[in-house]
Amino acid sequence: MSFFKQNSSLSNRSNEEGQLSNDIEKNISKLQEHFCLTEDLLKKELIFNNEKCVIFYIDSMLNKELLQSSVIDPIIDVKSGDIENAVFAAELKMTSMITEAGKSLLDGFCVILLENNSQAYMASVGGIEGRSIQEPSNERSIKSSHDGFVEGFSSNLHLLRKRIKSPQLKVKYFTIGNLTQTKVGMLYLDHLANKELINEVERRLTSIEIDQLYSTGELEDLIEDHPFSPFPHILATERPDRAVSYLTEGKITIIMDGNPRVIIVPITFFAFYQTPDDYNSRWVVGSFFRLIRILSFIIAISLPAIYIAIVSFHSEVLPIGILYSIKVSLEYVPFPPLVEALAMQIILELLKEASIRLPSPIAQTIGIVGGLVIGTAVVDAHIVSNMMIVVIGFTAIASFVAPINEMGTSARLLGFPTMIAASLFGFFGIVLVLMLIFMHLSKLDSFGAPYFSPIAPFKKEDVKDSLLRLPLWKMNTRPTDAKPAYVNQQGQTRAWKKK
Amino acid sequence: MMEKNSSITKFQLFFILLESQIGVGLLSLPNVVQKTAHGDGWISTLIAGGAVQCMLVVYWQLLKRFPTLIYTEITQKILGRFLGRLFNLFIYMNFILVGSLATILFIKIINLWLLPFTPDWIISLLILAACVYLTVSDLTMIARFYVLVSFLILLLLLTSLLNWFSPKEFQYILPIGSSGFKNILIGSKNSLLAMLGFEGLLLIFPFIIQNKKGVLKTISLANIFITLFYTYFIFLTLISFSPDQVAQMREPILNLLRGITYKMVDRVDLIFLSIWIVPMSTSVIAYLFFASKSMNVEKKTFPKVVLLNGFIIFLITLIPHDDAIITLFNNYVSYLSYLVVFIIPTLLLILSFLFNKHESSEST
Repeated sequence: MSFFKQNSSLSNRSNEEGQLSNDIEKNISKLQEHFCLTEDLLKKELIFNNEKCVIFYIDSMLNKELLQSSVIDPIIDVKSGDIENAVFAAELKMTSMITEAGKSLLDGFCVILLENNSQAYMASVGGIEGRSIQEPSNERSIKSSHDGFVEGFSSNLHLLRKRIKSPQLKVKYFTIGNLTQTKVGMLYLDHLANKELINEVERRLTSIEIDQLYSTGELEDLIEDHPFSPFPHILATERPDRAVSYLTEGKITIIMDGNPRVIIVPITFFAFYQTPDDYNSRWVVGSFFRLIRILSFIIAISLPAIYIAIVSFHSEVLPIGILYSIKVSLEYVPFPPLVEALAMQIILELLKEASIRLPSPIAQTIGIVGGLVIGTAVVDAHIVSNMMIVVIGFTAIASFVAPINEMGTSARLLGFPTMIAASLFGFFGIVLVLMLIFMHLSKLDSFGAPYFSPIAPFKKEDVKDSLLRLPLWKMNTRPTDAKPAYVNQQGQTRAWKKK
Repeated sequence: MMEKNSSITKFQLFFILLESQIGVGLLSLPNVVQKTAHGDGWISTLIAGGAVQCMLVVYWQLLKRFPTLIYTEITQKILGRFLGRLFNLFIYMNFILVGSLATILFIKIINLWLLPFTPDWIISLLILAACVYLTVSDLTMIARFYVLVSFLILLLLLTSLLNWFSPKEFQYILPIGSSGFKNILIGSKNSLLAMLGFEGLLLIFPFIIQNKKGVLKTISLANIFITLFYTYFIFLTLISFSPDQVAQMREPILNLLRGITYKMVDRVDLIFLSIWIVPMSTSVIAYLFFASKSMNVEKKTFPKVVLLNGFIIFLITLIPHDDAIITLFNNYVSYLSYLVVFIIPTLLLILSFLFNKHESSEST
């Protein structure tokens, strides 16, 4: 612990002598030493008011053209007067602290030091443009908007602000990581979001003491409620339309600089099985697909297990006709069904991993080699039965249905203990494991909101937009799992019909 | 944001009662009742339901006087420290023993129908481990789970509808009342095990949020539902099988489903029994919870107490259980249940009337 504290205090080391003085030469060397004499801290010397004036900036952190046109050119043109009036910058700050100046430099500001002045001026001159906005490849949709979050903090904020043009949308900034100084923003609708929830999220974010924080996945690890649960209970999405829909339910969105994934808390189980497409289909279709997706969760967990249990314990459940065809396909297979199933599941995971890592033209080859060649050869060689291939294939498809990838993977992983239980105790084992899973789901909560709501605890009002997707004019109240300050979200929506 | 206090709604109370009562008892109920009441078994459950309803009114009167105390605290308040403790021991033992009996019957059914060669202690360990896992958490979470799995009861109702396609014989229950009033009453007595669980109200009443006014309505509805549910199944069994057949069947409800076959599924009963594992477990969970709650421990030590009680039930299930021992065990547990479920609450109510004791009155 003491070691950690020592490390953390390193970053604040220069605090004692961090004041700027009137001596410009001293200030220059102090600032350079603050940056350990790095070579990309560039210096431009000018004359202003017939005195020395030095502009510092970090190469690559700012837009040089903008620096030239809005800071350097005006200073050369004006020659004398007040520096604050001379510089054209959207944001001009003053400080007398070296650390403050250093922080701004890293944020893409330039620092102006003047002779006989103990204040440093910091002018923002725009950042470097990041990746352009495109549709996220892991959350595709057919009928919804096709933009996605990118790495830049302000672009992400822009994408959300563009969709909620309300003064109630509030952002709170945090800086996490002593070394990385990662900018983290917490967004919510001020009048809607639950105050206790806001305080709780803030408490968790401010309590983090860490040197480096790179990704939203790491942040999830730090703030989630139940680290040992197999289920994801923080939603990370790359879709702005999805993030916005949760904001208007009174939930909190956390944006992290440098990450295209945006975190949403609190979240329920059923949110992982919703897509923005549901709202662009007719409500019957949307509801149907939602139910199908929930079914896919059950299938992904239990189908191989049910097959194993039937083949090895309860073959009397099947009528003789079906049983015969299954047993025939099993006849030459020397392994117990559990081994077959485990082997096929692992092969499937390997194929999936391999095809993600490879460049896309080769990935197709993997599909053909893996799926067709290995698939048929394995059956021909009597290593795995035909029926098992069908079952495993069906399971894999079912697990890929989940719109948020993590949930599908969780379901597939939970299939393993279910399979083992089935091979040991048959149906009894399956039901026991499923019961444990559902007990676990009813016990979980995410930031104080019950995770398996609106089914456990049962909330009749919330079923309309979680398990099902009823027509919009039925959704007069918003989902209550985040305990929003008020629930009504619309008045008369089809008043024209009354006339 | 965190809900620290464990509280339940009246809606959840309904399902807690349902899930505590409906469980392993149902599967063998027609056989048990038919032994004495014969074709009038369905009247027996109606009478049993009536008796339970009377007790619920007694509970209600008692609990109204002590709205924030649980059963074992009320006994101490009315009877004093020493006598109260003694009664609490009986109450605790009742819950542990009924829980053990439910677990033993549960294991027995699994052993008979699904896993004939698996040793009992493994099944017992698995069941109790799962039950302890849920019971260590709050009442709120138990309630959530109970509401979630209540649709399985509905599933049984729907599955039983399939049975109506097979031939029925109404003559088996005719003439109504032919078994004699005494036999019907003995039948009611025998159906007690399936009815037990409603006494849990005495232990969860203080945790009900909202106003407590409608609680009597909720518990009465739950009781009416369960009584009609049992009566329906006994009736269905009685008209489906001849009296001799029912007498030979251990779990007539499963046999009802066994007759149903389809192109895709041959043994509906096995699939159904697998699913019925969940309602059977919820009864065990309920008793585990009631037993642990009746020990009046602080919230912090509650998980340890649950673990301990789970272990005690596990040890009890290790006792070899052939049918003779189970019957004996069942008899003793019934007597204890009469005491805890019927006699003590009535006594407490009478005493609290006589001494005019309320929650606010000082304990002596």
